[in-house]
Amino acid sequence: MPLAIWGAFEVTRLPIDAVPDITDNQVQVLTVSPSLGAPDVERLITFPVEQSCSNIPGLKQIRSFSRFGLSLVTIVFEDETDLYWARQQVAERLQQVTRDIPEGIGAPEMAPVSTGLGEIYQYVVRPEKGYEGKYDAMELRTIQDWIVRRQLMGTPGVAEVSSFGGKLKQYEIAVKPEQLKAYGITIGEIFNALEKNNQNTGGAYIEKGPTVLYIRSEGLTTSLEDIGKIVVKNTSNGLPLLVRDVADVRYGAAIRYGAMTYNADGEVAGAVVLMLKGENSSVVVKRVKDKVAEIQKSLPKGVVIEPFLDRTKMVNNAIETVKNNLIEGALIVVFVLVFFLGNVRAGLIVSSVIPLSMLFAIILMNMFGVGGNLMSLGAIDFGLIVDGSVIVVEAVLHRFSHAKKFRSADRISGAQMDEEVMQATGHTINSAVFSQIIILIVYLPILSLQGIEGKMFKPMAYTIAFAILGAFILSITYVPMMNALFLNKKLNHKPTLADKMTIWLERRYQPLLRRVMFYPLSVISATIGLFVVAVLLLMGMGGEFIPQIEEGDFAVETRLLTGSNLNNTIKYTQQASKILLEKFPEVEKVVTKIGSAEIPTDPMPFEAGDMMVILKPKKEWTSAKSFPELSEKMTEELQAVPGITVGFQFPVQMRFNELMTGARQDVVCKIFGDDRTHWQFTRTG
Amino acid sequence: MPGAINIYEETVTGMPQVVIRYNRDAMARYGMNVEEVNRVINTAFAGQSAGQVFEGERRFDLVVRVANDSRKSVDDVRNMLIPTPNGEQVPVSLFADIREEEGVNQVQRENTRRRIVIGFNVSGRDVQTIVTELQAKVAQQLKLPPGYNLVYGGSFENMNAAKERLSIVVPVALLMIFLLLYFAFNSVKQGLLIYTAIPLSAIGGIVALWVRDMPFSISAGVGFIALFGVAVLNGILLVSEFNRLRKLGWTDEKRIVIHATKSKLRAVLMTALVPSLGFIPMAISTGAGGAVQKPLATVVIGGLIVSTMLTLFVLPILYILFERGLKYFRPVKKLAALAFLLSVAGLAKAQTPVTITEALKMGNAQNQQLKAAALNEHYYKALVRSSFELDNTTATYEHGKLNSAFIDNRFTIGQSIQFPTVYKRQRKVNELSLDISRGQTKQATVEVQAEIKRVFYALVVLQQREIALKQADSLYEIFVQKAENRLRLGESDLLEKSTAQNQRLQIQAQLKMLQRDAAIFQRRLQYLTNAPEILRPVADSLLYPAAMATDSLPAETPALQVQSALLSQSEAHVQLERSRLMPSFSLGYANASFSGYQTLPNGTDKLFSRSDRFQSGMIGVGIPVFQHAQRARIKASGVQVQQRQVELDALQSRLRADLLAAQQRYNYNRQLLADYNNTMLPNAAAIIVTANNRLQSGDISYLNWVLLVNQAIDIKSQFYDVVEQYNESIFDIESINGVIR
Repeated sequence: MPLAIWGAFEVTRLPIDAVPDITDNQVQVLTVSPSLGAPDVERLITFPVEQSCSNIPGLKQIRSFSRFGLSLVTIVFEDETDLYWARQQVAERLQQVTRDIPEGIGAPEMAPVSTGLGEIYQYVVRPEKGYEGKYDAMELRTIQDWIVRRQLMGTPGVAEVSSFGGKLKQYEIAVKPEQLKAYGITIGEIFNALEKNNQNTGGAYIEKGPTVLYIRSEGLTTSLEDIGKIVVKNTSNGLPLLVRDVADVRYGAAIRYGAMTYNADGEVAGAVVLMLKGENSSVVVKRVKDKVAEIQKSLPKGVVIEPFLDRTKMVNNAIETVKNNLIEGALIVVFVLVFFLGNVRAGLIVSSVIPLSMLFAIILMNMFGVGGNLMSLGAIDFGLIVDGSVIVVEAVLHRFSHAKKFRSADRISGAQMDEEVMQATGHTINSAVFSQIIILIVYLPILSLQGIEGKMFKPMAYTIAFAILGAFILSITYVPMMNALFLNKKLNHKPTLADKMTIWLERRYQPLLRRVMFYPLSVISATIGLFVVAVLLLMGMGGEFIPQIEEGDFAVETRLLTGSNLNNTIKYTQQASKILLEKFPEVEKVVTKIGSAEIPTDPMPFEAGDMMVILKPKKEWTSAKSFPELSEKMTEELQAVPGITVGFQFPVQMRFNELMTGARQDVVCKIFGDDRTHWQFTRTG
Repeated sequence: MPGAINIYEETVTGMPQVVIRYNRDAMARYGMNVEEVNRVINTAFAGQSAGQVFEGERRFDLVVRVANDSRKSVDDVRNMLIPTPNGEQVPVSLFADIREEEGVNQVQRENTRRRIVIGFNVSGRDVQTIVTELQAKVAQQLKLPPGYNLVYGGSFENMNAAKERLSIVVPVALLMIFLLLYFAFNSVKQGLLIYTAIPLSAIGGIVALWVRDMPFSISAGVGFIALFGVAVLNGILLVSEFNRLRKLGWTDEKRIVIHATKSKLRAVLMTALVPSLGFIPMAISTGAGGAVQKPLATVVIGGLIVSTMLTLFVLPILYILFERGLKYFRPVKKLAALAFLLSVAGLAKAQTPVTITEALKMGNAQNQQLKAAALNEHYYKALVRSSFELDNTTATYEHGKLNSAFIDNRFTIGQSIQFPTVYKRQRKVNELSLDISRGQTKQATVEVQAEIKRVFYALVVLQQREIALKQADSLYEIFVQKAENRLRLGESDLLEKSTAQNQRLQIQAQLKMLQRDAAIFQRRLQYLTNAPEILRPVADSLLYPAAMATDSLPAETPALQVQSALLSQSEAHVQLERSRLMPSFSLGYANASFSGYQTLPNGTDKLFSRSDRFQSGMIGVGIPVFQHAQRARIKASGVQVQQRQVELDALQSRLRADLLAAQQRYNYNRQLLADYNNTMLPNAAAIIVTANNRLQSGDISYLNWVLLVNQAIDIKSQFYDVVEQYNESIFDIESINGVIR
């Protein structure tokens, strides 16, 4: 009982996610340098960062990525390394590096503490129907940055809210070169004028009688008009030359490196909510959702926050699968047990071990920090778990049905029952213990797996080992006790259905065995032959790392020709979205992320975008039955859009791939070399 | 490349750029420095923040840049005005070269080396095959300049790393299972026996994967590990039951097996069925993410089903094999022996008439001794094939840092071969052994046939003796009656009557003895012919129809054959031992990997992985330098040849002497028989008739009558003795000559 209660309590504490987190320990260093080209970024930023971080203990790999305006260095550590310690080390080195990087080029920063599973919630901020014209991309972005993001950031468990798309509002002084020329002033002068005319100050205080008066000036500009009135220079004729005379003062957008579109309805703003490493995603998502509902109320009329990728969907799907597997498996096992033991009570006693050992396992999982997910919970076979208990119960039943002294008895007393159970348990305890130890021990080497497969299968091995351990303890304590208490004291000597079946099988099996025993050589050689054939089959069999986990949505990697600008990419991906929405009724919505986010942990160029195709539940599909089939059909349809190439993946899988190998494809060929002039050669080759 | 979809090629160049290259001379002329110009350009086009504007809490950058319509073309860049120190403003184009160019798009580095990436996704095929195919193609068609190398990554990379680990983890799991089994059963033999469940279950797992058309994934690998654990449980159940029965004192393995499988059938089925059924929902699940566990569950289910079926049949057989050793393979037919015992039990049954030819045929076909001899012959026949006996093929597998700091592996296969004449001569020796055993079979046949003939004709003669005794008995019966009558009438005294009764009792005692002898001979005949029922010999004549009795000794006499074959065998053996002085040869083949960079013949370096194989061969000669042991063996063989020669000579003269003796007996007995047939037997018949007549007419007394009749009976009995000796002499001649019918 205490086990059941404790277990039930622990169930609520078990962190649940869809899949185990397979991301390795990594720290990303980002440097944004809006004006530098790729070679300069590499030379001035990436190289020093790589250089200084390359001697951190526990380092496994350094990857870097330099592109126009951006440097991204990914430092991968050994799994044993404490991530916070590693960040500390990186931070120390970055301080030094900052000094080496020429001023004004950019300052390296570390990306948030998150993992491949960290992108738990993604949303767009978009105008409602009927308000489309009212909010432009800039306003949406402002709402996102200053209303939504600000509030979401405070949610516990959220590491970062990375804004994406829209236009970042700026006060822009658009200088007209002709005017400058006409007035003979330089941009530098305008710059200086602006810097000098935008500040508040304080004058401490003065004492006025018994009170004090604090002094402060308000020189901050607050409006476009204020800015326009700033004096750039006094002209020779004594008239002040104002900013507005040489430039347009207006709202402008920061130079963009990314955009986000919603369905085929144009640009919107949005964000990716990153979860802190090690948090329980289901809990955090729930908090985020609550918070979003709250924020929604404070938004201006006509603006909605619409989530498109929500980890709960995937988790729910996975948990659904796990639940089905476990419940169906458990039912089958219970049924088979009752059938084989030929005794409902005995079958139920053994079956009751299933939930109890599960609870035991969950308690231990919490203790050892193993999360509940598709891998850890999905592969539990109750048949294995109850094995020991079956042996114990079977021994007791066997005693009743076969021992001579019970042959004539119809009923036995409680004391006799206790005695018998004790005897039977004593006899079989060895084989029960032994069989469970074997199963347990087989799973132990799995714990030594490393890398991704380790991260995938270790939780499974742990969970099963815990459950078997639980069942093991139960089989030598709880099961005999329950036997003594609840087994029917009335004895029934009629052969059960299972008995009859066993006898039927025996009748067929025994003669066959006798006959087979005359041909030992042929049997053994046939078996060896079979084994050889099987091994040959295995050799011929292809290999696959780990089967893909269907996540319920697609992440479509979309690419245009290099050098395409943002507007062009938006145009074509919009076309693609339109096709998907129109041709495939199972598509719920399509959100496309183009280029890089504000925190470019996944830096894409302008010509690349990720189309997140959100699908309806599989049951409602009409165009295809499986994910591969659907993706194939979609690829075909998308060929109608000129110049784009698409690649279908699942969102989390895509993220994992990116983080693990720095590439998103299943197979990548990496050509290493130093001189760029050869690259052209290798490409054509 | 079929199966590769969404091919992505990292575009490193092709980024259109406006490049401003400063002309240092021109810049010097205007007295400008690069930083100032850069700053202006940066501010003008990218925009520089000149502070921030606050809207309440919100903060926005205040940015200065050139108006949109003035930063649209390359000309706008050219015409950008830069202030000079002397207050002038000059366009950039005056001191810089401005051009539109394609430039570098992005640079990726891994472990501080630059790299570019070509990637693709895989659909419809498994990753491993595609990569292997690709590697082959690349190696063939792509030549990389020195200092460049190609590495494959992506999920394939993980696959290889994982396989590596599995190749350690799986053996460790297997070893742990074995250790546990060893500790539980305290016997390597039984541990191995149970261990056989593992390959059996692997068969099922692999076949199940294959049937469901799934590639081998890590998931399946983990499935195999779990499968092995459950699979041995069945074996444990059965083997501990075997052991229990054995402890109870059972000795017949077959009985143990039959009993144990019967009592444990349900437990075995349950241990296998419960886990495999428990996995079924996972194997057929179509839910999200179900794909990961599918291979695992498939492997376990398939493996358990197949291993249970095979365990129930193969394990018992292996158990018997392990307990009895290899002789289990030899088919021993106990049925025939059983039939013999049964027929002995049913002795009282009717007798079947049989002629001598039939009896001999039965003997040839069914005699146990001959069967054993025939099997012996088979044995040597099979052994002839063993002449070409190569030494063990050595196969080694090395794994570790063989060639460099990388983990490599190497397979070697080696074979040593004797000088060819050794095999030829070995074959000769074996063939001679076969000849010997053939001769022995013949000899045994001759002996068995002689025995059958002896017993058969002894029975035939006994039958005749019985008839003769019965005739005599009836004579004395009449005599006894007569004597009693005469005594009653007072014609004779008591002496006559008692003599008559004594004579009759004597005859009856002889008859009984004769019948007992007959029963013994019949049983012997039955044993020799291995017949199911009692045989009653039927013959036209008392005399055995003699084959031509030759006086010279034919060479194919089995005994001589055997002895001369023995001689040739020793001679062949000498040859064989001599040929062992010839050199022996060895051949070998090695297949190894050399991971890491290797220089190719064309001078370029290439990265080789473990799947790139390197091959080499080897050849060697072994010369017997230390020969004295071998020489001693040759000498010993030579002595054996001499010994056999002497034995052969002795045998020949002995047989010749025996044959001569038998022929003399034959001639003598034939003469005697002729006498009996011509005179003595008719005389004996005449004596009885005359004596009877005379007794009735009262010419002779009863005492004389008894004397005469006894004489006649003795003659007949002597005749039968002669017949037996005659037959015996023919049998001897035939068996010395090796006549087989």
